[in-house]
Amino acid sequence: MGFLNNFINGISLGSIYSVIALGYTMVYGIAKMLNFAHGDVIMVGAYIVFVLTTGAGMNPYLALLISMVACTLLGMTIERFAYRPLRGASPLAVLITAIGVSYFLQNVALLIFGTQVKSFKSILEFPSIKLAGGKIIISDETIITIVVSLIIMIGLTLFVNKTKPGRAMLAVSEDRGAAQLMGVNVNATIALTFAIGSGLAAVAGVLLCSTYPALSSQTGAMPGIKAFVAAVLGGIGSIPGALIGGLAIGVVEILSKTYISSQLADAIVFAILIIVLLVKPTGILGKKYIEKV
Amino acid sequence: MALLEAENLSITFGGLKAVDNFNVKIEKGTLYGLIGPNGAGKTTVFNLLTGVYKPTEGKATLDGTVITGKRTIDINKAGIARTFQNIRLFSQMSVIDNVKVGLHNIYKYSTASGIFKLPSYFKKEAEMEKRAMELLDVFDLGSERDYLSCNLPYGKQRKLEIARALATEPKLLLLDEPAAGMNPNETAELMDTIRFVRDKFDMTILLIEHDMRLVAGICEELTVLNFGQVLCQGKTSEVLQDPKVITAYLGE
Repeated sequence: MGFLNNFINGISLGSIYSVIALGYTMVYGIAKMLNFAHGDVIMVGAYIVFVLTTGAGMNPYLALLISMVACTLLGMTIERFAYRPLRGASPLAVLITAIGVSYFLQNVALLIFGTQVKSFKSILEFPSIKLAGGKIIISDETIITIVVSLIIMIGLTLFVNKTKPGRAMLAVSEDRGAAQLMGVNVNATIALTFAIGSGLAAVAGVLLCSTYPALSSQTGAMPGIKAFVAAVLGGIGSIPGALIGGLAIGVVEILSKTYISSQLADAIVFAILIIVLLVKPTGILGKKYIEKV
Repeated sequence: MALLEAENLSITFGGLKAVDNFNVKIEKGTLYGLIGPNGAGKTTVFNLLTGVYKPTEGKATLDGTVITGKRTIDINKAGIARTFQNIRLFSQMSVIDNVKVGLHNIYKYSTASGIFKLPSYFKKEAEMEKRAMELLDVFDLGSERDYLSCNLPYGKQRKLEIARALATEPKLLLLDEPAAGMNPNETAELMDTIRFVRDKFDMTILLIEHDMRLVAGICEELTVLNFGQVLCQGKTSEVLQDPKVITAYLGE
C-alpha cells in the first residue's frame, strides 16, 4: 500500500510539472525560444495569492483569479520588453535574456519579501479520500491538482486545434513568414502564447504551494527546471507530451526519493534529461519533420 | 487609375542593386506576367510589394493607397496575397485549416470567446467552415479537406496555396512560379485554373513564370527584368518578339 500511496503522490507532483511544462512547451513551439523565467512567474503567482489571502484576508478563489490576471500581464510585459526586441536575434542571446529575467524576478521577490521562507496556507479545504480501510489516503490537494491539470490540458488542446487564435498559433509555429503574409499578426500571436502560459503558471504556483507549502523567492526555480526536463522528455512543442513527460518525471522523482535516496532524486531526474537527449532528442511525442525532396 | 502602381522601386543589398528603378502599372482585372532570367530580381519585386523587404527608394500604391513601408500583415489586409516559389503551406495542418488561416482577418471573434466557447465562437467558426469549403470546392479539394496538406500531390498543393491566398480576399494575387515542377498536363490545367480564378473572383493577377507556354498562353501584358532592371514592357505578343528579350534569354 505504501507503494500505491507514493505512486499517487508522484502523479500529483507530476500533474503540477505538466501544467508548468505546458508553459515551456507552448512558448517553445510557437516562439521557438526557451523561457527560463517561466518558473519564476510561478513564484510570483504564488506570492500574489499569499499576500491577498494571508495578508489581506481575501477569498482564496478570488485571489487566484487576480493572481492569474496579474501573471498574464506579467508574461505579456516580459515578452514585450525583454523578448520582442530580440526577435530574429540568435537563440543564444534570447536564452541568456531569459536567464536574466529569471534572476531579475527572483531578486525583486527577495527585495520585497526578504529571505524568510513563508508558510503558504493551502487554499483548498476539502476532506481527503481514504481507500482500502484507511491504508490509502488521497489528499484533497492531490485530487484537485490532477483534475485541474486534466481540465487545463483538454481545454488547451481544444483551443489550439479548434479555434481561430489557436490556428494562428499553429501557423506561426510552422512558418512565421508565410503566416505573416496570410495576414496573421505574429507579434500578437506570440504575446497571446505568453499570456496563456503565464496565466497557467499562476495556477501551477498555487497548486504547487498548496501541496508543498513553503514559499520563497526560489520556489519556482527547481520545479521550473524539472518541468523543462518534463517538456523535453515528452517532446518539446507537444501539449500531450507535456502531460506524459510531467507525470513521468513526478512519479520518478517521488519513487526515487522513497526507495533510492532523497538526495539522489534530483540527480536521477536530470539523468533522464541526459539520456533522452542522447537516445531520442525529439522526446516521446516529439514531431519529426520528414523533408520531401 | 491602375490597381497597382510601382514608381522607381529600388533595393540594394550591400553594393548590389537587386532591383533598380522598377516601374509598373497594372490595371484591374489584368493577367500580368513578370519574366526574366534567373537572378533577375523577380522574387525580390514580390518581396518588395508584400513588405518582406523595405525598398531603399521608390513607392508602390495599391488602389490609391501607398503600401511601401507598411508591415506585411497590413499589406495583406490592404489587399495583396501571394503564393510561394517553393510551396510554403502549413504542412502539418489539415487542408481546410490552411484555408482557415487565410480567413484569419476576415472573420473576427475574441480570444476569450475561443477559450470559453461562447456563442460567437460557434457562429463564426461555422461561417469560416462554410467559406473555406466554398473555396476548396472551387479548386476540387473538398474531398481532401481533412488530409494533412503535406500528403497532397504536388499540383494540388499549388492549388491549395492559391485557395489559401484567395481566402484573405485580396485585390491583387501574386503567384510566384505557379507551374514550377509541374508536368505539361498539370501546367495546362493550371492555366485553366488561373484564368478561372481571374474570372470567378474578378481578380487581378501578377505572376512570375519561366514556362513560356504558360506565359504566352495566359498573360496579357508582360514586364521583362534583367539584372534588376526593366528590359521591356508591354503586350505579351510584342514583348516576346523583342530582340532584346530574345538576346537576354538565349544570348547573342
